[in-house]
Amino acid sequence: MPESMRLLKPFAVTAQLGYAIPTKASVNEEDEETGLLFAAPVPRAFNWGGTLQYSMPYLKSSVQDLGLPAFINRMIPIVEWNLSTETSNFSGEERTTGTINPGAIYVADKFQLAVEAIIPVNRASGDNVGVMGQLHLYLDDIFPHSIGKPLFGPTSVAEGVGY
Amino acid sequence: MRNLKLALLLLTLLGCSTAAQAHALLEHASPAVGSTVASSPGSVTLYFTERLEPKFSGGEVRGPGGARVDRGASVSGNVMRLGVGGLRPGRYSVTWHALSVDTHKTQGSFSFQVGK
Repeated sequence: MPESMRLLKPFAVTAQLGYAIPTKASVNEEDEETGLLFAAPVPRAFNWGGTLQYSMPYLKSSVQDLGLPAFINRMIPIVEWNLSTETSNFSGEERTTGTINPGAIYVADKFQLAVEAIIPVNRASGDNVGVMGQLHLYLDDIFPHSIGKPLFGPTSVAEGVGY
Repeated sequence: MRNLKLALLLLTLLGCSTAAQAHALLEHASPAVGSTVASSPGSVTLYFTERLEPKFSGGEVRGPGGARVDRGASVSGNVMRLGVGGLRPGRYSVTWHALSVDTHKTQGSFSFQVGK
């Protein structure tokens, strides 16, 4: 990437693909109006998703230190999309459902916190916007002298050989 | 519909991205990452977020032609110093690798400009 476009370097794109094959072609469900049981088809589905994110930590440490506040330098703005497209044995309703989730991740030394909105891509995916929070604790950093050290062998680099 | 919503929620939670954990990351450097300095610095100093294991941490500075121009690395605490001197105008690249005292490896690189 040319030097003039260096501010684009912190962008990252991830993708995930999968194909879901149910173990049963149908399951019994109760009709909400009549109360009668009926065989509801369980479709095969192509699950696909991805993220677009911009790493402020990478911008500061590897591209250009802009002198921004520390709080900003620990942020990763992110947009995720998780979608599922039914490929067979579907009921005839909307075949693609899923959500788009814009948000941000805050990366601290011993934890990271993510908050994202959950926006349905169509009516079949949901009627309302939700919010999702996720907290990751770095247990080996929080408890470096107990669960954060090796169970067997040397417990520090100085004791090890050729780590 | 309830199953569909449950599946979508599960898919969303499983798909939620995670960033790299924070260990010995570069806090700041002198000259600053991506900066331009008017004249040659006496050293390139890297400040990390964690203390480093000196035996397993190091770095190098390479000039515009790709030749190594540093005099080696010295590490103390969370500071790594790469001695340089008399750098001519041009863009210099710094690569580093570190092993924090909690035994996690990290590495990185950046560049800075000497002169216009």
